[in-house]
Amino acid sequence: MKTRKKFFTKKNGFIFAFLLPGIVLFGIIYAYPLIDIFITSFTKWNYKNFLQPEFLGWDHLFDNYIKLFTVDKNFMVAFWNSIKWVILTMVVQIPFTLLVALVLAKKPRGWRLTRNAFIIPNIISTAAIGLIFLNIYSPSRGIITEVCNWFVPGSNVSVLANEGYAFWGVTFSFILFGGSSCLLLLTQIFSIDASLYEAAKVDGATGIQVDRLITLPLLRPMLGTVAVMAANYGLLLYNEIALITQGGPDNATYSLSYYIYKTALGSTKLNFARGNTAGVIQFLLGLVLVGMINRAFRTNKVD
Amino acid sequence: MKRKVISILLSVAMVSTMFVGCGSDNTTKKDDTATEDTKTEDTKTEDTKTEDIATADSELPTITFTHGYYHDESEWAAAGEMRAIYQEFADAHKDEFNFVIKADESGAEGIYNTALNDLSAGEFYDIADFGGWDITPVASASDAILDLKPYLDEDADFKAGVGVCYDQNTTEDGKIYSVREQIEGVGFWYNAALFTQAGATTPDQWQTWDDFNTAVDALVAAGVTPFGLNAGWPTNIMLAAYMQGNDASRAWYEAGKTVESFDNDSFKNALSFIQKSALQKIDAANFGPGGDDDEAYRSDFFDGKTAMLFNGVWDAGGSVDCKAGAENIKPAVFPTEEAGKKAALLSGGCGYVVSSKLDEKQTEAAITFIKYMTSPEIASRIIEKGIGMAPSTAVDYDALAGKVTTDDGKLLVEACKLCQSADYQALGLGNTFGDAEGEIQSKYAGLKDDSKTVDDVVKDLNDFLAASE
Repeated sequence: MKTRKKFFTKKNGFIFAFLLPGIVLFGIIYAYPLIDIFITSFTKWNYKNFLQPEFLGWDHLFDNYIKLFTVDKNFMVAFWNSIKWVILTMVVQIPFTLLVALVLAKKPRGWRLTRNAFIIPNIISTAAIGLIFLNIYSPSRGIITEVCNWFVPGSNVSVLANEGYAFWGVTFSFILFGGSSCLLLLTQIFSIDASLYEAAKVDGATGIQVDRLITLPLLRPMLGTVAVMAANYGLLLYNEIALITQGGPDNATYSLSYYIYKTALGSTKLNFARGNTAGVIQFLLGLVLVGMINRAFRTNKVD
Repeated sequence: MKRKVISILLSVAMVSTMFVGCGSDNTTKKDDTATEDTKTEDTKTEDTKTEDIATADSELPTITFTHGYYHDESEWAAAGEMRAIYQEFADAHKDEFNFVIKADESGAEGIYNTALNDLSAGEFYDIADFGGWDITPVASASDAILDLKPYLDEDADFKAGVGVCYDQNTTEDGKIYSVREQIEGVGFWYNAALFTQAGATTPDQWQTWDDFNTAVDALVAAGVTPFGLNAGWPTNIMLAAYMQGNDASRAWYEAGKTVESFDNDSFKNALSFIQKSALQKIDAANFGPGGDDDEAYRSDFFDGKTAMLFNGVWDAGGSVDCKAGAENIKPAVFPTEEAGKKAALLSGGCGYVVSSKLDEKQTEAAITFIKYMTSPEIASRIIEKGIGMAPSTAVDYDALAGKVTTDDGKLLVEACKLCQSADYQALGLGNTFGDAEGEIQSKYAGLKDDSKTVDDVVKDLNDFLAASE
């Protein structure tokens, strides 16, 4: 006769006891705020009813969402900018970082120095990076204006005061800094069984063939992880914008994170409901992106 | 067995540590209070950055005053002077009440953020100086702060001491939740030597804005950059100042936060002036993106590279040892469209705010403190010590000019006098339009490079108004 396995064993009890603090902390720090943000996105909540959010009612349930997508131009700019930054990290940062990792993995002369130099921007605070770029872009003392004046005398380009340029100004303040991702990729490359490379060498494979047919396929799960991290950075971009452009000029560099801050706390109206609604959209967007990237890179499947 | 015991103990310790961590910190607070209470006057120094607390007498009512002047005197001398003023008050009233002084190292912004947190828990500071961060809309809606109007109305000296704050801070429902001992007095500074070099009429002789335009053209023709601007503060000053040109313009501007549309001739005219007569008179190198770190417009003026600086009276201090030559730096207020009439921007904004939950004696102590801070003596001291401009209409600037010995101190007195005696005094752009200020300033770059017309800007601003409803 089959005996039913007991769930409430001492062993399970201990496991649960050790997991409990983590579960409770997760509930308080992540789950509760997330649920709260979701619920308050269906309320009216600003400085007038700071202590008591008011439910919008079933007839007006999606008013905050509708307003964001129909009348709030700043939100739409932030929404599309965030998507653009995610795409740019995918098509610029990840390939560039991968290329650097593949080159460094061959251990050319000075590879350690290059690796360390590549990681430096990632260990400097984004506040310092922001200040550095502010100076680079400054029309009165920045190098960009000087360089533009060499090519087009008198052009006096002011990167951060021009709608078209400012977006790219913010983008270049983070897009090439893939040091952390490069380290992860390098570690993964170095952990690939050396006998595979030796066999390829014996078979007369070229360097590019080795990278294409051995390294890249085996790098796929880590590449997926790195892509998720980079996409999230693009989606959650805040520090660079707060420090370099404050969303300007003409709100052309708003990101979703910056919009949320400006709407909820950076305004005397303290529109928490609208800010939280944007937060829900950002969260959902993040979920979709992670899902898509995981699917594209099949990160949960091992060859 | 031994392992099991250790595992159980470890689990219990982890869970209990977590609950203790999440629990109330009343015990800690009590201990802190006890420590604070035992501090004596002897251990205090003026330079104390953290808490400056008078010896508490448990028999007397106690109120805690929080301010943002935490800076070391070597970093900002005004902070030390303000702390001394507070301490003198606490000492003078130590037999009547305990006046506990706390310096918040996160500054006025930190005080504002703390107040927001406290409000969500139904609490509020006893009395705090918000240094311009406007907590009153949310705090008054939460019924957490005291209406100061009755106290101002019953005491003419008190009312004179708060000056423009009385009218500016009166809400739509006729209440005053905040007054200040300092205000932002804004006119502009000019470099007399550069005006002379260009053969341009100096601002003290201007009659209307036409004279401004003529002078700017003369400066440009002589190769002198008239001013530096950015997509923020200095351009906002120009826009607000130009709006004081005539009655219609002033009336619309005063409506500020309640305007339902920016499609107004006066406003469009002012934007057009900003575009054609200000932004497009300077090259891109003299137009910064704005923000706290963008002060090239200011440093260029004190380096003698530009002829005018649109900034407040406090920048008298910038003239010390400047390359432009301190003797060339002069203060001025703005012309209007009415010949000879002048305008200045005087913004009280949010300063002292008192909790509505204090008892009668505590409230009395708080009001006594605000009266002290807005008295003519303290107002004179604030100007004399170069801290800033006081709102009090009772200050004798001529007498003060005789007392001040430093050159920058004399400049400050002169600038304050000009602002206080201007024919028209208005709030700055931020205090007038609230959140719309940020939207307005974000359009300057487009106006400068002609990618936006005045009508485009007005449409964008109206869209912003619609979205913010």
